[in-house]
Amino acid sequence: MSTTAHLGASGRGGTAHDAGDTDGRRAAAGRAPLRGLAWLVWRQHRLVFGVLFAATVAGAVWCTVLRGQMAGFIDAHHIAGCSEISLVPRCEGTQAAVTEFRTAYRSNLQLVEVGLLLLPALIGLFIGAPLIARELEAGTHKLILTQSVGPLRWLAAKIALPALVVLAATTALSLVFGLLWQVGGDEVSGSYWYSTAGFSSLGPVPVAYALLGLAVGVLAGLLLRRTVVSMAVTLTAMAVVQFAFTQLRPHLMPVVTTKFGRGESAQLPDDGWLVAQGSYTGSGGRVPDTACQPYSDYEACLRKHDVVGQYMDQHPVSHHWPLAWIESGIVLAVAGVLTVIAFRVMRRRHG
Amino acid sequence: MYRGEATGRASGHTAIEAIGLGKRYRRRWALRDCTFRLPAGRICALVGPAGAGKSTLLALASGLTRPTEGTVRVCGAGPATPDGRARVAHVTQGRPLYPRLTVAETLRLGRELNPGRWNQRCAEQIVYDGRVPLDARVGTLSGEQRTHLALALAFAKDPELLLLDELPPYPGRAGAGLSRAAAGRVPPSGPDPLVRHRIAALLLARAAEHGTTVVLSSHLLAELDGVCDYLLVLGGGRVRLAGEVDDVIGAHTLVMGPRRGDALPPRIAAHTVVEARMTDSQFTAVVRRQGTVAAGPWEAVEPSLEELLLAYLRAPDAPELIAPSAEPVSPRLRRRPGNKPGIPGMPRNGPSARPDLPPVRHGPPGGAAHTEHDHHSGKGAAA
Repeated sequence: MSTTAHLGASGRGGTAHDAGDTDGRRAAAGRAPLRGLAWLVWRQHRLVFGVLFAATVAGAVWCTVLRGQMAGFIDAHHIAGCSEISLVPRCEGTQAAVTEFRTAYRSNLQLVEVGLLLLPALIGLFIGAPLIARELEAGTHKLILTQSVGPLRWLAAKIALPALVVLAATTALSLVFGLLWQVGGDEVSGSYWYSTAGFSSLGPVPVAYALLGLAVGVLAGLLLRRTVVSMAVTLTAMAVVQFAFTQLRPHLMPVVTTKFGRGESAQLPDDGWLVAQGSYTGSGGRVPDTACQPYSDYEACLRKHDVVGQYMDQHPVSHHWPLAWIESGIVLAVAGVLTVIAFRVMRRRHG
Repeated sequence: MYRGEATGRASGHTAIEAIGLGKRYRRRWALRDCTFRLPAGRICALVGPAGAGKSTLLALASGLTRPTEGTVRVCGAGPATPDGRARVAHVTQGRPLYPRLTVAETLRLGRELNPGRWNQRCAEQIVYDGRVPLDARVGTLSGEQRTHLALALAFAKDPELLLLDELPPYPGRAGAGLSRAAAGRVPPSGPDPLVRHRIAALLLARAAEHGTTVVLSSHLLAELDGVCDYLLVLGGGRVRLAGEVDDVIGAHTLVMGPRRGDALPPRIAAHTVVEARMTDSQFTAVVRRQGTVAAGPWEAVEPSLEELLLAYLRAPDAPELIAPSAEPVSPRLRRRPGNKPGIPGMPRNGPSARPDLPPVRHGPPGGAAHTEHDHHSGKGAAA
């Protein structure tokens, strides 16, 4: 690639060299900071990265605007921390305002939540699955694997660069949504931290799921070798995993049990996540609420079961971040295992 | 960048050495018990019917796939090692390229992915000679332009061994993605003989300049004559023929004569008959000589490469022939009971000591020396 190469070339050949070498120098001059495989992966997938970047910017702007509007409404009506039916004294008489707030903003807030809930599956579908499957389908992996770089370095670049982009985009969205949540989440909007969409869009959870989506897509593509099939499998797998975790989530941490004696009013704070409730007996055993029907001889039934009070199993709001980090840790570990499997498949197949 | 004589022709270096190589896809063996050696510096034709395992063998040699059994080494390195990858270029079937990249970007891909080996000047020269515009998207190129671009990527890597699957470029536009089956039905006249000749000329010129060993698979037998000086014929997933083109041709005789009865004349049938065909009045047989062919009412000549290859392709049960230069140097790991070393009529060690066999040639590759070759010279045929 030396410029002295022109001396030996014919005049006509020299023209081609000039064009190419200029291009080479431009690239080397730092116009494109990426080198090697990273450049290739960026060049191949820059469109989808651009779409993700645009979606992130749009989402961030939308969240910021929404946050401003919500904060203005809440300040004007002094309804911070008030729910529609609230026991907090300073919230007295704010019910109409809270209802109005929810009518105006709750659907918007839920839209963002659902967007963040679906984003990991979409990332797996449109970034993860085609990443390798399209190469295998078109045979272009042979072009890369017959160059000097090995298959493992190629796979590493194919996973690492999209993972970084996804990490940056989802972290930014999660942070912006967190700020929006601080203002309009929980009591005032009635979308609590423990709701499925809320939990999945707060803190590390959407980031972890997005990386899982990417890993699922890459592995599915590598194993199935067909873009559309791997997209379908990725979507199904992400739906199954996210549903499974909604069932598993309450059990990730020990619950806090609150007992109420007979006659006490059983009432938890609004932001506590009630997982189970029932009656407990004098010996400490538990009786499900369904054991005694209120319309028959209720008191006799309670006596028969030796019921001495009510219990409530709950995750208080202080459990939110530990739960979120535990779930994210498990999800990230799964993503890591899938990535290791992908590397092993690649090594077995292509050395 | 130039490797000089170290790996050049006439050296004892080995470009490919396969021992008991086999590859199974699910239940079907694409290649089985494949043992041969390709000396460095040759232009080797890889011939075989569809499904004979040509592409599989090339993919194993370039490290694209891993063998199910056996071993293969290229230029003294494992194919799936960094060393092996750097030394081998493989232009795969269908010429996979990224259609949305421009030609210049595709060359940049080669530069970025072959650090330390890339020869941009060589790549641009090939692309320029093929009239491939640098700013065109790869998806808009013609089949010939795609092949030029693929060859530019391969040669600019400065490989010691170049594997080229399917020598003739596919007809039609880029991205049409002819299937294997469709590619196999390309008529012998081909898409454009001029294009094929241009590609072959480019290949030979570049290979001669850099001392590159080339393996090209093709089903167009007529194209190979005068291009290749080494032969590797696969059939039924096994090696059927391996050796210098001249050695292999010299070991055979094409006998034609009047037909008497249903069988070949006994003095012809005494040799190893590769293939015999009978018309109403004539017989034509390709035999591997055991001694000399006795004189008789028949004409015995040296077959052309095409005649020989067709005979072997038409007779899948003909015994295999592995010339001494194609015998692995490394000890065989595994030998099947019936697989005798060497072949009758051929010396076991070293170049030919027999007067009726042509000496092993170590001339430069390329068309010039070979096109002058007259395979019907009768050399060593009817003594």
